[in-house]
Amino acid sequence: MSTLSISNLKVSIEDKEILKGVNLVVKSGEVHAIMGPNGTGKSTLASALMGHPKYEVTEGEVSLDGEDLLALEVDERARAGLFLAMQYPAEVPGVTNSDFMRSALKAKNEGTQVPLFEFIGKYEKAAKELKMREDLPHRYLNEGFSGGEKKRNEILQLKMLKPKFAVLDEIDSGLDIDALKVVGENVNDMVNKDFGCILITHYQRILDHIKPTFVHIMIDGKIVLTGGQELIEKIDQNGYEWVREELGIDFVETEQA
Amino acid sequence: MNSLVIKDHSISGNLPEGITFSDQTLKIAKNKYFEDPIKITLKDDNNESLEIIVGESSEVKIILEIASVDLEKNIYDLKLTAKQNSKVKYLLVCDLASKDAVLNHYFTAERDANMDLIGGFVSNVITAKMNAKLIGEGANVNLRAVGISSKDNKQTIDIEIVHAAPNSTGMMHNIAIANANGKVVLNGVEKILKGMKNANAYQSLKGIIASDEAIIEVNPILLIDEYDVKAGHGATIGKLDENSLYYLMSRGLDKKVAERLMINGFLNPIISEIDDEPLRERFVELVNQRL
Repeated sequence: MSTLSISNLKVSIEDKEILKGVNLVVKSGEVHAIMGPNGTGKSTLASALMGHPKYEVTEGEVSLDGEDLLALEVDERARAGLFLAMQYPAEVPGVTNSDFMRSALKAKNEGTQVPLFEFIGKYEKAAKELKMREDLPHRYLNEGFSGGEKKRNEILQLKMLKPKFAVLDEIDSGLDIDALKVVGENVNDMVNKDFGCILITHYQRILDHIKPTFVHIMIDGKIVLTGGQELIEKIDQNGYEWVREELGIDFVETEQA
Repeated sequence: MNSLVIKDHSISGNLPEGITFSDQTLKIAKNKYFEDPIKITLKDDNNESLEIIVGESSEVKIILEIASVDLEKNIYDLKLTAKQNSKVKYLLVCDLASKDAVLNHYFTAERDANMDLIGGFVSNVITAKMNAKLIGEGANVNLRAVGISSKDNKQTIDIEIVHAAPNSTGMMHNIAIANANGKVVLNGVEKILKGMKNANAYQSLKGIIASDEAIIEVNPILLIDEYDVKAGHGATIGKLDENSLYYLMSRGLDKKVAERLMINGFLNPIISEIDDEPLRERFVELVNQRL
């Protein structure tokens, strides 16, 4: 069992403070949904955890099973067991999906190449489960992919790499109802005693397919409220205004579950 | 595949039927179709010249490898002529250790000839010229040059297509990659002479700088002396896209591996056209030695 621990995380971008002290502990087997209006820092949390060079951590700690993640480079964080499914995955011309995936698996296995035959079998199976096009391995990484294909490709990589923790940054936005179901079910199937997940979203639909263990509401760079699935219903009915009203505009201590 | 080695102006290897060699000229008879590529290696032989003539309506794939570990001055004069209605796919790999190499390569496309040309430059210090002249109506040349320089390499490559016939098409796509303190200069020129109506010219030059000390110069030039033509060009130089690098690294690839993957990806559209698998692998290896 693994633990991802975030404490008092403050993050700035171009000297503007976006995250103002985030606390969160995620354990294997748990799904934490982070919800909140646009522009409150949800995606900043995702990028800062992965180590995007534009985001500057000014205070706080993040550790994965005791290892200080913030001291690691982006690739080292990945190899330590963190995965970020990106909101806007890059397109990389000329690099095929299969070449890329094999390189990533090799990096994960500390330089040992997965036998080609075994790789193809696993890759094709995972792609099929995500209902992706059969020529996927030979297509260039995300190049010319539709929005939905890109999101599914993120989940495909997640399934292949089997990290300890994944942050899914708005994996549901822009997906049609069928794709949403496919993505949701595939992620849900992954959750087990060796895998935990932070699901960042501002819609509720994905949560029909992935049942979160905890629901956090983030406003203005902080997690202001933590609860269970009842919060989803409440947001669905009333939006986020009630959170502000109920909690007041003052600072509210985050309750850790 | 047919492999021929030319050393000291004489040839070894079995010449396939329809191909003759004399006076440093390799002739391919007309109306011949060769399914397998013909690979010619010019071995450790500076001051070399070679002319290849592809006969009328013949179809052939030719790979010319020039490899030498000689550090002295090297001069190569090469010619490739595609006779009427012939189809030629041609790959030149230029891997010279010389500290002062000069390579002049002339191409001629006659009426309705189709030439698909790739020049791969992984030499030390070289001044190279690839000049293609379209002398017959309906001639079509697609020329791609790739130069990869690393530590102390300096490669200057002039790529020129001259439209000396109406209804001719000339495309060039050239790529420069420089690592360490390497330098690549790409001069791309497309010339359309007066009266060559309905000529179609396009050129693109791309440079990727993989280190802070690397230097790339690209000069795209169109010289057009006729109104009724289509022509376009573009040139870009840049570092590897940071967002893509971040994306690849976020999957566990260290920076070097990610950069290498991206640069190979950049070359992939050209490399994937190399028909000969062992040569393609060798070319990829030569490229990667410089990354």
